[in-house]
Amino acid sequence: MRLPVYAMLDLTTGKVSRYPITKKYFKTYVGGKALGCRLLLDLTKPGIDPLAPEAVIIINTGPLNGTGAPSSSRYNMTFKNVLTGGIASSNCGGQFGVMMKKAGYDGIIITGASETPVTIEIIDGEITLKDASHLWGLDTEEAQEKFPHHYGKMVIGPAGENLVRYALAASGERVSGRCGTGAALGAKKIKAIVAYGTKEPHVHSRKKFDKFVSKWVSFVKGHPMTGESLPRYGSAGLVNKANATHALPTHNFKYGQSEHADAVSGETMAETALLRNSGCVSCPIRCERRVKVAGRDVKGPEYETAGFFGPNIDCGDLETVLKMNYLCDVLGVDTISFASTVAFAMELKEKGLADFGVEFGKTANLEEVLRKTVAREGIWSDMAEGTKRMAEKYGGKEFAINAKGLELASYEPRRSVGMGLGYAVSNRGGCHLNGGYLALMESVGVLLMDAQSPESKAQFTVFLQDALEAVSTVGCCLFSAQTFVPGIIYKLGPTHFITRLVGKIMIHAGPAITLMLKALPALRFNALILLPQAEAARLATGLPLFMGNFVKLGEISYNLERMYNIREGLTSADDALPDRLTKTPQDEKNPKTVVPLDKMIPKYYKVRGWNTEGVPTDKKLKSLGVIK
Amino acid sequence: MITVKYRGVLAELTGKLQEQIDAATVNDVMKYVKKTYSAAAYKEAKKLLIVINGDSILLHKGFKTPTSDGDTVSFLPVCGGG
Repeated sequence: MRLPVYAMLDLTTGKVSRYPITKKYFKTYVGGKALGCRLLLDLTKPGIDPLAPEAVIIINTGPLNGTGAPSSSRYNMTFKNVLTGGIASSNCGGQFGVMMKKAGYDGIIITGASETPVTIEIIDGEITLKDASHLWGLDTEEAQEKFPHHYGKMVIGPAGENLVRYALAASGERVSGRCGTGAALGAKKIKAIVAYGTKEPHVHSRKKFDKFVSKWVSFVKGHPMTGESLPRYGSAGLVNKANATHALPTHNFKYGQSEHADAVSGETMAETALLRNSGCVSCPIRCERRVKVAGRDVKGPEYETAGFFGPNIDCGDLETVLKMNYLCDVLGVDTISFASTVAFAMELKEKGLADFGVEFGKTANLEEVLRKTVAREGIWSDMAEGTKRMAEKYGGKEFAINAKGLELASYEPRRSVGMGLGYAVSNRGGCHLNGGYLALMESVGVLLMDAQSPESKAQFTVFLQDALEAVSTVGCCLFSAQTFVPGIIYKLGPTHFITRLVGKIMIHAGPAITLMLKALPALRFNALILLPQAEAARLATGLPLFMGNFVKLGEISYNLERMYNIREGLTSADDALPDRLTKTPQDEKNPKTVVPLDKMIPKYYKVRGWNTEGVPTDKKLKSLGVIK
Repeated sequence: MITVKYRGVLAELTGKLQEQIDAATVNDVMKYVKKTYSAAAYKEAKKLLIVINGDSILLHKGFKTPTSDGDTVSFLPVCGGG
């Protein structure tokens, strides 16, 4: 059994050392975000400032990174969340993770802080610090161009340097956008981390692994979602779908449907702006959009960006969406948090509470506002703090659309109440993915459960959170999990009576899901059509990762994240949503169009094995092997 | 008259992005597609999300949803994201 290789780098002293990962840790946490969270708990004291030198950043990979498995290029960053004060876990495609592994490291742990800008170079096993004064001030594109093309790169832009709380880190044109990755790096004066190596990543059973991967690639390419829809429309294909079910955030989540939806949809982008599709290393899905902005061939927007720079600010101009997406990436801010902050500022103006120079439907000065926010110029420095802190200063908490301080993704939870539960309880804050992404089964997918009913939503949320957590932990993109819904359902379509029947059955399947979660250890099999990541991880590591304990790995990770949040002072009161979403019906004639958190959260805690305050019980943690 | 919009593969199969037809229900639109275009086009249309004036027909009466003069019925591909 090969144990992961980790280095520890103290930026204050410049000392680099090996950090041993024990066999027990490898067997229990495997790698990626699960192991990252364990190490963050071990290596940090409670209550530190996320931007202080004693804050720790763990950048690591999972066992599938660089192995050739589909959609497996993602590296993960674990740190104290700059927006929420709880756990931050943000992953990213691009070359960096693969190259770090080829350079001989499964992960690096960064402590301390440099006094001057630095680049961390990880080249063929050697880790060195280089002066980066000449790079400071460059945008993410310019900074990456300063390094050899074949390096894997991760850089911050001016936003990270200026500690914008939702600054990102970019690797190529992919970004780890959420939770303030760029600010966490910027606080340590890290401008760039680059890696290059030629070592082949370890695979325990190479022949069997390659054979399985070959089947998996064919399966992904043949599935209607990953082989057809995502390559053709990208995630922005969801704009019109969300609009059709009133789940598209509009006018700062006041409404769920917009006349501007089609103009910024994936279909319109494909018809009018798409140059071609592209993808990350080893990914057969190729969901990335290539579009032209100011004469340059650049990455196009994802669904969240199209929705937030479109209907959520009453904008129907695709050119504006494409341009703002590009500018946010190069200046180094998360499009979700920035655009949601803009919408909040627009509503503050509408209600006469504050004036940041932005108004719904007026987009001519958005670039200027972005640049001022990134530079933390004047009052725009408040916009760099995100919606939670702005609401504390200016009011409007009831329409500051965040959970725990992280801005929500672009699914209107009053038309997808299970997604609302997920946002509220998500460990890293208002994230659809960490929240279980039930929107895909309530409002924007092919299988549609009753979107307004709280029935069974707790159970599905727990299962999906754990499954997605495990997929991330082993190093895969969550899009690779979209084959979980059988292809036949897509072939039948959402209106077919069988599809609708399955949706109707699912809403009553909560008790069955609970039973399955209890029986996980007995599920000692793997199947290509369920979670192929489990079999690939089993063959790559030699660990007994079957369907049951693969999902349990996700459960371990989710409970660890929760432990971290509790240690840092978050409570069940933070498992909440703004009043607009829980108290004001989206449709005033339909009182059901709110998120009934009070009906779902107690059930969710119970299914999780947590107490009524949302704290994992000792019994639960012992059963997971997290405590003795 | 109502407007029918086709997107993606269905637009390729019908050779049209949109057209105006007479129809009293969404079911009439489906019958029109079946009668006018290839079997492949009808098969494709059946598996798409059907939207009337921006709303999924599943929020209304499904294929029995009535249509009125000036309405727009759109066929949208089912997508995914995250």
